[in-house]
Amino acid sequence: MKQFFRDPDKLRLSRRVLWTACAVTILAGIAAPFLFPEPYEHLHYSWEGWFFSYAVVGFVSFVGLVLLARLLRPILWRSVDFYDDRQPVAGEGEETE
Amino acid sequence: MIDLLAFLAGLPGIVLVLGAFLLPALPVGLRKVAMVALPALSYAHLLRIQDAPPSQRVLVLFGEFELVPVRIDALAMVWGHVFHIVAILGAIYALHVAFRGWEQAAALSYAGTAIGAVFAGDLATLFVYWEATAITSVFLIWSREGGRIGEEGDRDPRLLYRVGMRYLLVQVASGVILLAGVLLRLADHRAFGTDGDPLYFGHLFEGDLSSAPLATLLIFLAFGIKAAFPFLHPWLQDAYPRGTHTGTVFLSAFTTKMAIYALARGFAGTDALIWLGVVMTLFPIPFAVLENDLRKVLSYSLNNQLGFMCVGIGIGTELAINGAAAHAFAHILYKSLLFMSMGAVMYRVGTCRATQLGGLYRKMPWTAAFCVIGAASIAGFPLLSGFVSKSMTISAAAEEHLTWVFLGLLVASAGVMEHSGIKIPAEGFFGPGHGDSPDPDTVEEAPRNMLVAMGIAAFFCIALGVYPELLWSILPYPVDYHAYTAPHVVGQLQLLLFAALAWLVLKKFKLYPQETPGQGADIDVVYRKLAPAAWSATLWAGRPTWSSLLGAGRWLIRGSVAVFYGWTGPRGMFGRSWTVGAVSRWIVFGLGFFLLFLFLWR
Repeated sequence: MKQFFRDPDKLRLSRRVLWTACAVTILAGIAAPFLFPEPYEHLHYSWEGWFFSYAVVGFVSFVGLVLLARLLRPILWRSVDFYDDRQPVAGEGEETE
Repeated sequence: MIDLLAFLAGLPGIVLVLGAFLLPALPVGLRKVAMVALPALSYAHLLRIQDAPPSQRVLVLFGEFELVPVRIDALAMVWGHVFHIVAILGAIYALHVAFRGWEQAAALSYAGTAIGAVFAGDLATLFVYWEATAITSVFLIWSREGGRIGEEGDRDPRLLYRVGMRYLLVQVASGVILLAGVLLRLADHRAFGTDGDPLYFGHLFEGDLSSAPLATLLIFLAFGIKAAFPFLHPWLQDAYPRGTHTGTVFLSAFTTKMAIYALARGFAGTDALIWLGVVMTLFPIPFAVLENDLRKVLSYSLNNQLGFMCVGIGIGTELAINGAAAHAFAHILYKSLLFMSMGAVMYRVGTCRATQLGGLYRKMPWTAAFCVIGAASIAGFPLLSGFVSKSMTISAAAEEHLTWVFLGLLVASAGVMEHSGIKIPAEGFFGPGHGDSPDPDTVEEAPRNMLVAMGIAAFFCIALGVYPELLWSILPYPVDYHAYTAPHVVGQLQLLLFAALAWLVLKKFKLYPQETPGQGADIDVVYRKLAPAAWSATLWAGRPTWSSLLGAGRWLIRGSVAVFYGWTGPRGMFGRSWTVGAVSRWIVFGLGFFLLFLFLWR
């Protein structure tokens, strides 16, 4: 039962593809203002034109949101039978009925 | 009679509603044909009547007011198109289901009433459809095949009954609040003689909501409940993951988007919607990150997408309203695609919990591929529908220089990438598998009809992304917008790919939360935990009073029973047997008294 994210070769390949794609978008961010200067003149905020701005926004927001979720976990995450009407699924905690 | 027929023939969605009633009467073989043919017919019917001049449409007089049961214009047609498309897709998707009577009929009549609602030209008609969608849709939850009582969590029939009742209560309450608002509007009209027909469902309000009259606030609240505003939302995440695997596809498409339409019609330019929308795009994200049930993840993601539409409606410019409408159109298609793929997993594996799934892509490659297309669409990858529609709203925010709103929506876009773009396909199909995952080798690919429905939805996701003019041609306002500019494409790709990179990095450092069984405690703890607890606490605290009241009541009842028994019991006056002599004595006595009385009275 070989599975996608357990197969080290495929895993390494998909990681490499992602890293390369990220690098390509950064290169595109550097090159695009020279290749297509016209739309870059109509941006609403000047920082939108920086070659790395959206990469930072994406990375930082993602990390921030996931860490926020981790932080909130003790408050938000409850057992399967938290609400009384919920019967536990096999393998999902103890029978409480 | 002819008038009634002409009136009925002019109602959009009527084919679906009447057809749904006929469906159970058809021979079994014809039912499946009718399932797909009815929405298609209804679409053809709508396209035919949309060209009829408004003068030919029937108006109904309602006392001194005029009802407009049908109003077809560009804004409503956006929803008219997509509601029909998704009804056809949902019907194809459900073809493999054995006809159990009411599920399919409920699905079609639900679609029909939602379509009727978006073409309602007055608030009274809207109210009727508003409630009808609630009543028809609850059967999509109650049709779920229940297991034995207490068996297999989600399929416990008692649980499904309660979920349905909670859903119905909230939905009907929304309708009742709408009715209260409409009646207050009529009263205001009588009292203050406000301009225009108070029943007409046009633009109701814009600007600062704190200056709105109570009637308008009530209508806003009614729309807000069905649009799943923050704190009014938990009915959505409670009910949608509990629908049948085919029913949730319908559920996800209609109710909330009908409310979004109502907001776009009535409250475009209402400032409060901007901030409500931003909160709506952000608050579901932590829940979606933690959630284990993937259909519940999609429900939170649905809530977050509604936020984007609310922001667009709140901004209220032509670009923003176009953005909200385009987003509703694109969203209905990719969200139903995602719910279809998860429904296929549920159908084949029996569960949608991430902790019980893994490695399904090998046996369900088509479903996995369609799911990835849906996930990439909702995340907003270029060349897919989400990219062109979402960016319109975000650009509208930037154009109005709403910097914080703009940033909030960008952060939310990264969040969408997390829970819908990565988590759904990764946990659903490519996950490493968990202890109690079924062996993927025993799982089969989804039935062919499901694949066809998913394939068509995926086709729309790609077609609208590659050729957005198709979408823009049906938007309410003329479009002067270019999605595919270099900064936009590069920026969006950077945002999404670096978000994916962040996922990889967080996984590597073991900072990404593990999927665990359990459930999120949303704001519904207030009415599912706190309110019942408060009620029993009140009962407990009031026990002395209660028991003395109870004692007094018991004493009263016991006393009256004893007195009554004394009269009518075996030894009582009315109960015991009397001798003839005693009876005749009483009769003589009575007659004598009567005669005396007559004599004295005369």
